[in-house]
Parts: sequence; C-alpha cells; structure tokens
Amino acid sequence: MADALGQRLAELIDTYEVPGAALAYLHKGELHEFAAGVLNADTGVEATPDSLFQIGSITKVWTATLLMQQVERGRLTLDTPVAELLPGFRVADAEVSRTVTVRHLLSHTSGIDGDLFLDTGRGDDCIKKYVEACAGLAQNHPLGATQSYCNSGFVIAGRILEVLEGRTWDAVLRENICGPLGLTHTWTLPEDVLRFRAAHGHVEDGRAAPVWGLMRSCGPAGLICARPRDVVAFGRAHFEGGLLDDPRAMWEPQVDIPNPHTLGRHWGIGWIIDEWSGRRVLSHGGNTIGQHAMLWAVPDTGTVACVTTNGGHSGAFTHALATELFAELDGLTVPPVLGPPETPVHVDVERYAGVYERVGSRMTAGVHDGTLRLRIEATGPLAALEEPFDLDLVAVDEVTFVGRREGDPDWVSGVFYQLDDGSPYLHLGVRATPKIA
Amino acid sequence: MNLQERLDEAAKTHDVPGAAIAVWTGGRLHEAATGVLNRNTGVETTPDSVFQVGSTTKVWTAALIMQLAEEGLLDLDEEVGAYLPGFALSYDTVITVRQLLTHTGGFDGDLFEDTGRGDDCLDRFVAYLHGAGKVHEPGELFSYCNAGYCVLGAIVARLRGTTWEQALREHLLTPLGVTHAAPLAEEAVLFRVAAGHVGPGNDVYTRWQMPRSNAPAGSTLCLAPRELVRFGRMFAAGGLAEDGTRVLSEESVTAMRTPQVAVPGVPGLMAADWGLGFELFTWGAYGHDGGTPGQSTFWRVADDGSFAIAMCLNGGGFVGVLNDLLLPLLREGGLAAPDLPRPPERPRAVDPAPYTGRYEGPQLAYEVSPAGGGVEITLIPGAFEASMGQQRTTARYVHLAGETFIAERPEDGRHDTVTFVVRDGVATHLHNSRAVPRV
Repeated sequence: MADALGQRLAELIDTYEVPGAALAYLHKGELHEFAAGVLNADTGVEATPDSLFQIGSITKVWTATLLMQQVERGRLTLDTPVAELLPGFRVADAEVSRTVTVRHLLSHTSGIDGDLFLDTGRGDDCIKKYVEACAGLAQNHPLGATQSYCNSGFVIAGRILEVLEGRTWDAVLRENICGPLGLTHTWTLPEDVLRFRAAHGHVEDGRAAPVWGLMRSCGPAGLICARPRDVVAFGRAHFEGGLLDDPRAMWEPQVDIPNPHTLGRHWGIGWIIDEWSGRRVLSHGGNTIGQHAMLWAVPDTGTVACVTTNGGHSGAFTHALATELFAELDGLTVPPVLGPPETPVHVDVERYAGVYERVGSRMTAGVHDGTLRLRIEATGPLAALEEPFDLDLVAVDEVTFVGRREGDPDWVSGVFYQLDDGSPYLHLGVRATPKIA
Repeated sequence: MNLQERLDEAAKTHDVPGAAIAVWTGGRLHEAATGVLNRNTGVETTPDSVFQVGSTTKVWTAALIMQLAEEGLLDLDEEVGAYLPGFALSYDTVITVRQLLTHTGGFDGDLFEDTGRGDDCLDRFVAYLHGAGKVHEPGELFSYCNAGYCVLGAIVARLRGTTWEQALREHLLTPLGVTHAAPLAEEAVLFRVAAGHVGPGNDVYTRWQMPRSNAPAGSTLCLAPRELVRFGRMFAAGGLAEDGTRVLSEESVTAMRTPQVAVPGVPGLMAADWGLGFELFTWGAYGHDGGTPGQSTFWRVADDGSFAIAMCLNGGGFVGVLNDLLLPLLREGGLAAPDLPRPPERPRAVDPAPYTGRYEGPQLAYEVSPAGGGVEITLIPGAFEASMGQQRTTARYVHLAGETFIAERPEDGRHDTVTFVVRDGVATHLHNSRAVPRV
C-alpha cells in the first residue's frame, strides 16, 4: 500500500498540476511519509518528506491549542472577555469591545471583520500593532449570532498569548508546542525556515509566486511552516495527549456552520468538525500565497493525515487525495464537493435578490430568466486588485445554491439563511454576509 | 580554465561543504559550483545559489553613501550628527562620514547587539551606540569598524526616507540588473540558499543569520557570486552598469579606490590601504572579504578591470581553497598576489618590553608576555566571542617585520599576524585589523 501510495501521489500531482506535495499520515500507530514533485519551479529543488511547507490557517488550531493550555493552567476561561486580558482592547462596536470572549474568537463567532491583512512590519511588535489597528473593525454580524471566518480574531488570540506569557507568539509556540512534542521541523520565521528544504508557492500558469509569505502580523492566524510529519504529531497529541489534559474540549461543537457543504458542519475551538460515514472528523485547511495544506484527524480510528502543496488545483487535489486515502485506511467516504443536483430543483429565487455586503466584499444577487446570478466584487483596498466576477447559481434545495466561476473546475456553494432575529444573510466562502438592500 | 574541476578538487581536498565561484576573465563570465548548500538537506549548490556575502556588503553601503554625496545630499567631510541627529557615543567626539567609510572613527566596532528584525532596528542600533567606547582619536588609526558601517546604513535609510534594504534595492540592485540578491530572509528563501557550517564537524549553524542591526555592515545580504562580479565590473567600467546605466560617477569610483588610510601591518595578500569602502592591494587589485558564521566570501577586481573574481563558501576549508584555487586564479588573471605570510625560518629576537601588557576591546582582551625572542599572546574572549565558540587560547608569535609578529603555528591553515602600534617606544595598540588599546 505504502509504495503504491507514493506512486499515486506522483500521479495525482500530475493530474492536478500541483508542482510539489508532501503527505504524512498516522494509521494504526504507524507513521507513513511521502513526497513528490519540486519545492520551487525556479530552483528545481525536489520535495522530500522533510520539506517545510506553509500550513497557513491550520496554524489556527495550534493557536487555539496554546490558549487551551492557558485555560487549563487557570489563567483564563473560554468565556473571559478579551478586554480583561488585553486592557484597552477595542473594535468599532463599543459593546463588542467590552463583551467579546475568547470563545468567540476561537470559534469564529465574534462577528468582527476578519479580513484585515495589515502589514505592521517584521518586528516583534507586529502583533501588538495589529491589535491596536483592530480598533476600527466593524461587525459582519452581531456578536455570537452566527459563524463567519475571522482571521483577525486569531491574531487577537495570539496577542493574548503574548501578553500572558510575556514573549512573542512565535516563542510561545516553540516553547509550549514544538518543545513538548519534539517538533524539529516546525518554524515561523523565514530565517529559520530556510535552514530546511522550503516550499515556495506557485500561482497562475505554474509560475513561482512573486513573494514567499504573508506579513508577519498574520502569525497566529496562519504563518506556521512545517513538514507534514510534525503536523501529524500535533494532531496525534489531540488524541493521545502531550499538550492538553482534555483535548476533547476543543472538539465540542460551538456553532453550526450555516453552509455545511464547504468545510464541515460545526466549528469547535479551533477545529472544524464534520462527519464522514457517521464518524466524527476534525480538520482544518490552510491557504497562503500559492500554498495549500490540509489536516484531518479521525478520533474513532486514531488516523491523522496532513498533506501540503505549493500550487496548481490544490484544493481539488487534497480533496481527491483524502477521498482515496480515507476510503482505503478507514473505509470512510469523504463527502464529494457539492455540485448541481441530477434533477433540477425549482426554487423561487426572487426573495434572495438584493445586495449583501460586509467589509471588503459586496455580493449582488439578481434574477435573470428565473435564475440567480451573483456578482461578487471586492471593495476597499482590494477593489483595484480583484476583478468583479459573476456566478450563475444553480439551486440544490430551497436555500442552497452552487455556482462555478468561468474557467474554474470547482463548484462553490452558498446558503441563504436568517439569524434568530430574522435578518437575512448569505453564507458563502465560510463567511456570513448580511443583506443590506 | 577547467574551473569546475578545479573547484571540485579544492573543495574535496579541504572538506568544504559547498562553494560557488564566478570569474570574469578574457571578456566572459565563468562559473562553477560544488557540494551542497546545507549538509542537513543535501540540496546541491548551483552557480546561482545565494550565500551570505558578509562584509563585502560594506562596499555596497559605501556606494550608497557616494550616490548621496553625488546628489549633494551629503558631504563626506561633514560630521555624522549633521545627517543623523541621534548619533552619539559614550564620550564627546566629532566623527565625519569619511572616517566611518575608512574605519578611522575610533569607536568600538564589534557590537552585534540584536535590535530586532523590524524596520526600526538601525535606529535602535544607533541609540545602542550611545554606550560605545573609545578606541582611538578620530582619524588617528585604521581600526575595522562594523558599527561605523551600521551608522552609514542608518544615514542612507534616513536620507532616502526608507530602509537600508530598500535603498539598496532601488539605488544599486535594480540599476545594476542584479537578479540573485536577497537582503532579507523572506527573499533568500526564494533561491537555493546556503547555510553556514561551523566547528570541526562542519555542523549547520543553527541561527542561520546574524542580527539585522548589522545589515549595512554585512550581517544579512545574500548574493550569488556572479552578482559580486557584476558589481565589481561596474567599478571597472567607471561607474556604469552592464547596460550603460550610470550607477556611480567616475569621480566616486576613483575616490573609493584611492588610498585614504594605511592598514598597520605588512602589506601582502592582505590590504595595504583602505579606500572609501574598498580594501586596496599593492598587487594591482581592490575588493573586500566577507565572513558570517560558517560562510566566507572572497572578492577581488583587477585595477585594470580585465579580471574579477568572487567566491562564496559555506564552511571550513577556506584557506585551503584560497591557496589551491584562488591564488592560482588571481595569478593566471595577471595579478601578482603573494602567498599568505609564513614565519621566518630564523626569526629575529626582539626586545619584548614595548609590547608586553594587557590590551582590551569590547568583545575580547589580549595579554602579551615575553616568550623566547618573541611574544606569547593570550586571547580572552568576551561574551559574544565566547557565544560564537571562541575559546581562551594562548599562542606564541615570532617577529615578522617592523612591529609585526606572526604566529608560530598555523590555525585553519593560516598563520595569524599581529602588529603593534608603537608611539614613543611603547605599544599603544595591538592591531589585527582591529586596534585594541593597551590598558
């Protein structure tokens, strides 16, 4: 099986035009590692199982784990207000500034605009400065009312760690996770990463990305670089111990994801929780500049897998790989990406027409010949960089629609729903966007 | 010229982990690479791999200063404080920009304080220099001064309104057409990049990089050897880049290559004089050397511009490669480079009285005592040197020439030399590129 999988990995990266990939998985207590392709098309350096890839937002599970360690040490609870831990903490809404809790941050339920990508420099004060800049962040939704993916919340969480421990987030990570687990190939800063084989992202047409990484201020939300084996060791600790007395506390569903078809059904603390063939699956993915990684962990079987990639149709690739791998290892069926139904469903779409808007994004739903067309445009600083585009939506059921961007093989899904107070929202791209007109 | 074979052979003989070389001769560029960039990863060295080029960076910083002078934004003979109001030392003094360029400022030069990786690191380093001690009067002596080049970098950053790294990109790397350069680690990671190997086992250096506070002096810049050759050819062309873009005026190039101060010691393979940034050699060449933990760079340009060479190496074995490959290449290029100095067979016995005593610098101290007809010198490392693996060592030196002594035994293939600066019959400083005052 192992040799065959190595061969299969090479075939799959070819099919999905992925320059290089590495895979590690733990199954029945044994670790298996594979790699294929190159780390950087310009240098031609080959990927090995020891190569470091950017694992992006998988980092959020690490940051969440670091905070749970602080909870277990009695320094805070999940329901401690952020303002108690970070004196002077402020976002645009005064009430949210006062009452938002650590639980909100770690389960993406704060409603705080999550897409602030602000470069506050490469110094050790970058996260402190970032959190100061959060003072202007508006709400996407009322506090705790729904789930909307929130990068900024994890940077704020990282700042809490810095204040509690009196060190940089990077140092807290090294000492509280890498140290105890003996992770030698897990780093955050480029001057450490380049002592190893390091992957570089690739963008359109397979070209090497113009820059290597995101700004350092994103650290706690997504700047870990690691070999897959280290990420698997991290996942394993959530089953077998080594980091937390009660890692299961992180698997408790905190909120239903309104659109359950994209990443999973619920958000826990850090982890995304889904169900495959009736079994609970914990996961998280990560995307950076041309790099994409996935971590899956199945508590019932003890299987943990991490795959890392540096370009191409990497989302479809990791999904295809997971589908084959988990069928073979645990007999689990990975849900297929939601597409159009075999039999067309007729839905009255007029009620969904309108403008949905949050910071940085506007989606305009219009009805054309009885079908819903969604115009998606970036607003604010990114408006100049991203061309608006249209998605023709196909109904899957009364509230669920799928669409495919021209030239893109992958379907994306959206769910129209209402908050408890009746206000209409669209959940797409793991974010909640209110209807404003 | 079989450059590849000769590099392979020299590297193999001297257990070099990896090296890359670029030679301009006969009107074309020759390149070769050998070994691996990092013994842990096994990634092979290629000619376009980037290495830490260490203090060769000082010439880049000097060129940035010369451009400011050309534009009338700076006068080399003005005091530093005119451009950097925050500049002060632990004692009252007036130091000019030129004195920093020529290593004659006279303050502690080996201060590698880590002031962080942020863009404020140079300003913070300049503030840290408020505690720097005096070595000699400004202009009195040459004493290699890294800290002075950090101050020059801070001047560049301030007058250009950006960081030293960005000024380097905009005013030198881009106009020169440099492609394989990485001032910052997040840029170096895009290339095949060398790691330093240290100690007898050639182990990969765990920190990879020195603090950014010393970037303008050479702590961070990574280049492929061909880029140093490209930079050297700009000087050979009187300040013009390959495509004809003017990077420096002819006057600036001439000034940088004109002796400004003599280096105490016996001229030979080492620089006899310092220009503005450049080491100047008596045998028809100029250039600079560079070293970071576990990495060494050698860079020379012939006075007549017909020949330029840059080699980068990432571990032990540098002196062996110098003797077996670099010196022969220089000579084939028409440069009469002498051998490294060796102790005379029958050294002259000298009266040790003028030299004996204790000499103390910020990073290390020396004790000099009589021994036979020569002297015995004990090196006592300070905290930073000790952290870099420097141990307390004692070695016997014999007279070489003038006030210069040479170690009886070679270390890493090289006999160390020490020169005493003597005034009124008594040594005031021990000098081994740094002047260390007697206490």
